[in-house]
This record gives sequence, structure tokens and C-alpha cells, in this order.
Amino acid sequence: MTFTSNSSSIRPPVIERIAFFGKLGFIVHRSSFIVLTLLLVLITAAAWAQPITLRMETRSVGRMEIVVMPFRAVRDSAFAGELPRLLREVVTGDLAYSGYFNVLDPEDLPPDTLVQVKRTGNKWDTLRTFSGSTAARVQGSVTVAWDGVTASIAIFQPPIKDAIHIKDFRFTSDDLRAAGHEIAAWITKMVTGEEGGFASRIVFVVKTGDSKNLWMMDWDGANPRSLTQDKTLNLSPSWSPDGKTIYFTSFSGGNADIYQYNLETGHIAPFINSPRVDSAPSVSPDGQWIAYCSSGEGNPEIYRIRADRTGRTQLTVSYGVDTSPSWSPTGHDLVFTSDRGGTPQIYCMDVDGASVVRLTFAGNYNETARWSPRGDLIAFASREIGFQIFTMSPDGSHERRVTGEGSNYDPSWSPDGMKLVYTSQTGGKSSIWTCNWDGSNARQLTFGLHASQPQWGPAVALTDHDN
Amino acid sequence: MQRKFTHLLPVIAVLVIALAVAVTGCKKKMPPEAPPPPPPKVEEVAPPAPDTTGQAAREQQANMDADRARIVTVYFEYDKSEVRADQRDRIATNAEIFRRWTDWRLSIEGNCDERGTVEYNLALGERRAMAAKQALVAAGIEAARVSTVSYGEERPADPGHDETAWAKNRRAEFRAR
Repeated sequence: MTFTSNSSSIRPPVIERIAFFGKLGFIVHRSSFIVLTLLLVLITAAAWAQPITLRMETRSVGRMEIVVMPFRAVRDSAFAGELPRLLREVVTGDLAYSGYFNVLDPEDLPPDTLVQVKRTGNKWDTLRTFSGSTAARVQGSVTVAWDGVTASIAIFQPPIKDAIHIKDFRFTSDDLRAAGHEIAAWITKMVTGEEGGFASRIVFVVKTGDSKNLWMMDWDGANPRSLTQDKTLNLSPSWSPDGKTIYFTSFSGGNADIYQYNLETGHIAPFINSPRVDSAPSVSPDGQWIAYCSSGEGNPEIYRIRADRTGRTQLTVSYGVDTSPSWSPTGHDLVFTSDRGGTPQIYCMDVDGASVVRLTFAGNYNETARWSPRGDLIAFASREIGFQIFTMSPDGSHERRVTGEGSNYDPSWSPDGMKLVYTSQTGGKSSIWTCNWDGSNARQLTFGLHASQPQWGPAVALTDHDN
Repeated sequence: MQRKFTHLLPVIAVLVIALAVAVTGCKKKMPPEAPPPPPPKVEEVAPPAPDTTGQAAREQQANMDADRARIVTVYFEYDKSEVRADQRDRIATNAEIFRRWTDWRLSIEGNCDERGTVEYNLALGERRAMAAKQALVAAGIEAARVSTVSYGEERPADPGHDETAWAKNRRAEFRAR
């Protein structure tokens, strides 16, 4: 029962905009499911040691069931202490968060499925048979020694009695979280064929007083820290595909210009520095071009320019505002916001500014379109009372509402296109949330920060996916 | 372009020489280049007056401060960047002040209400600042004196979250230095 990487097998049929309220009825019906979901959220909450608020219910359609058995300490368990439990929490949290799995609690399985295994050399022996659930099982044994930790992870797929994948992970106890992410990424890759977004980071904007600065956090909201620290406005970050540079809009020169932040050196340098308003940078999938908004002769238009600052080309010519460009994963097309039709709407054009097509017609305020790395969906923010995030097909069809409560905007895709990160505002303060592409599994990632404009960075390539 | 320019060179040379003769009234050999143009008529509004009692300078400063305080903000319709008919008097008021103080450098700051996204509002604020600049230029202010900047939704005049506050925040502010 190998899971294919075909996205259509994961994604249920699209639901039209009006069908959202029907979905609510579905959720109310499945109150027992809510209890299960709450349980999962409680498990993962411990991994963050911070409260995680449940926003919308999980729809389990097409998600694989998986259960992570308690990790056992090998040899001196007293020496291992809490490490096996903490490691399992990171792994379980990642799997539940990834959008690929329906993570079950071992306690919820029939007791005879709690497989007892021992390892002899490179072989795992199953001492009991599976029964009931066909959920994939993950077993882990952790050896803590003076020179580091070894976690032996095995994946079982009932009814096959032998482990289908086994791998040892060696790390130091200081790198426990990173090791947990790596293990979860390996499990996901082995079971689904997907890379996931486990080793990725999210850059976002934090408002303090009158100033705004760039911050960074891990994909699960851990380790938030500031990148820029000044008294001006730093906005609209965009990642280079190699994950080494962040382009952003900054007022540190007095008006809006585009700057580069080098993540390896921490060095900040101007990229487009003009008396005009230069804003909303978006890096092409090959990293060669930056599309951005510049006012030129009195009218904000979209331009593109090479990363070496040559080849500046104007792409839009209209009387209205044209801004917020976002590249298709092929690099052949751009979606953008324009009010040339009287209200801000999403349009699409090719990289030379030709073949302009209007994509959105419902509602009178649609903005910040972002093309999924899978290419199949475009996310955008549509204003009703406050904003809500929608997705649509690249031809503008199949509009589908993703978020439900409060005001939600600034969508950005995870590198695998399975999740969205966005700004959610309820009351005065805004914070960063994520959810699966269909709106399920919504979680709050930032707490106590006035945070907005998240941009999900590329996944750091994981090597050595051998069995 | 280059050909056109060289074609005009003799005409320019003749004009320059004629001007120089007229100004100097001199029959001596012409200097190779034209004298600098006469300084603009700034004296009547900004006299140097360094050696007087200081009274004039103080009055001058008081006038300048009074005029600076008379500068008004121009407001905009929701999601629009055209200068409203009822705001044209405000442009005229500012233009009249700026014509008097010709050494002021002017900056117009475009702003938006909080609805809309950060990126769209930055662009919309820029369009508002540009529209205000155009209106000012049409009222006789040299374009070179006026720079524009957009703060989008980042610098609200009123921190409220209702139409009263939003109406105050959709604005172009004029700063003089």
C-alpha cells in the first residue's frame, strides 16, 4: 500500500465558494471526530510547549493513517531520561502538521496491535501480529551514549510483518528538534513519496510601535527571532529559491526601496534604490529574476529585473495600480493585482507582459495572489467583511474558500504546496497561522507578536533517503 | 537626436552671442561662454538681511512659520487616487503658500486607510501622492521642487477602525523643508 505522490489522489474534489456553509454542517455532524482531533492537537501542543488553538476541523479525506508508538530507550533508560519521549513528540507533531497524515494515538488502537519488536543486527522481529487498523506504524528505539544519540526508526505497513523501512539517525541531544524534523521528513518521504516542508523556515514581519522588522521562525513556529532591527518599515519579504537571500521592501532610505538580506552573513544591501516607490519583490523560481512594483512615471507598474540588476523590463502598462506579482512554478507566467477594471482584482500575464487575463470576478476586492509550487492552485485574499483566503485554479475557475473566522490575508504556500501560511487578525492584533491547503488543521504559529506578511521559504534538501 | 542637436548649434551660438552683447553692451571681443542667468527673484520673499537689527529676520521667520502652519492635508475617496472636487481649494491654498516660499523643498506623503493589503496600499498611496503633485504643478509649482513618498497604511492619522478614522487616513500630507 504505497502512497503515490500524485496530488489528485490526496486532494478531494474542489468545493465551490457557496459550499463552505455545507461543510460546517458536515463538521457538526461528526462531533466524535472533533474529540479525536482535539486529542491530536493536545498531543502536538506539548511539542511546542505553547498553546495551539484549533481553528477548523480536520477533514480526513485522502489522508493516510499513521501511528507513532512510544519510543523506547535502549540499554540504560535512566540515562536517556525524557529524550525518547521528547523526540517522539517532535516527530508526531510534524507528521500531524504536515497535511499528509491522520496521526492516531497508540492508545486508541486495539491493544493487540501494540507490536513488540526487538532488533537483532539489521533485522527487526515482530513478535505479534497486527489486527484492526491498517495504519502505518512507526517504532523507535533510542540509544543515548556519551558521544551522542542514535535513534533507530522503523516503519511497518500492516499486514507486512517486517519493517518496510529502517534507518538510524545520529545526533547530539542539543539537536533533538532538528533530528525530530529530519525523522519526520524521512517517514513522510518513505510513506508518501513527498518531500514535505519539514526543514523549511518562515520569514514574516513584526510591528513594534511605528516600525516593522523582518523575523524568522522554523516551519512549526519554533525559534522566532528578528532579522532586521531598525526604526523604519521593513515589509513584503520574498525568498530566493536557494534559501540564501531574502528580498524585501524597506524605508531605511526614506522611501520604499527593495533591499537584500543575506541569510548567511546577515548583511543587508540595497537592491533597487530610487526616488520612486519600489515594492512587493517576488523572486522567480530559477532565482534569475525579481518581479516588483515601481511607480516609474507616476503610476505603479510591474517590472522585472535580473538578480544582477540588468535587463529591467516593464511588464504592465495601465492607468491603475499594478502590484503584488507572484511567479508560476514554471516561471512562464505571473499573477498580480490590478485595479485597471475599477476594483482590485487578480490578473495573469506571461513573463513579457502579454496575454493578460483577468482571473477573479466575484467580490470587489481580490489581492495578493500566490501561485502554488505544485502549479495547480492560486491562493489569494478576498475582502468581504475583513479578508478571507481563497484558492482557485490557474484559469480562475473553482474558487474555494479556505479560511473562516476573523480576517485572514497574506497567503503563502509551503514548499510542497500542501499548506498555507497566512496572517490572521482577530481584534486588534494579528498573528501568523497555517492550515492545510483545504483549510483543515489550522494552527497559530506566533504568539504575543503583532505579526504579518509571512513567506514560507524553500525546503532545505534532505540527503540520504536510503532505507 | 545627435544630428538634430548639431544642426541647432549655430542658432544657439548666435542667440548666446546676441544675449551677451545685449547684457554687457560691450564691443569688446565676446567671452567664449554666456554669462550665468540672472538669479531668480527670491529677494522679495527671502531677503538675506543679515546686517540689520534682526527684526526683519524675525518677521521673516514668523511669516514663514505662520505659512507653514497654514499648509493643509488633501483627502481622498475610498480606493481612489483622483483629487476630489471639494479638495481643489486645499490644493490651491497650498500652491499659494508654496509660490511664496520658493526655496522650500516639498514632499508629499500619500497614505491609505487600513483596509486593503500592505502592498496594494503602498501603490495606492503613491498614486495619491502623485495625483496631489500633479495638481500642485498645475497650480504653478515647479515639479522639480516636489518629491513624493508613500506610506501605504503604515502611518494612520487616526488609529480608529471606522469610517470616520478611515476618511482621515486616506490623505496626502504636504511637508516643506
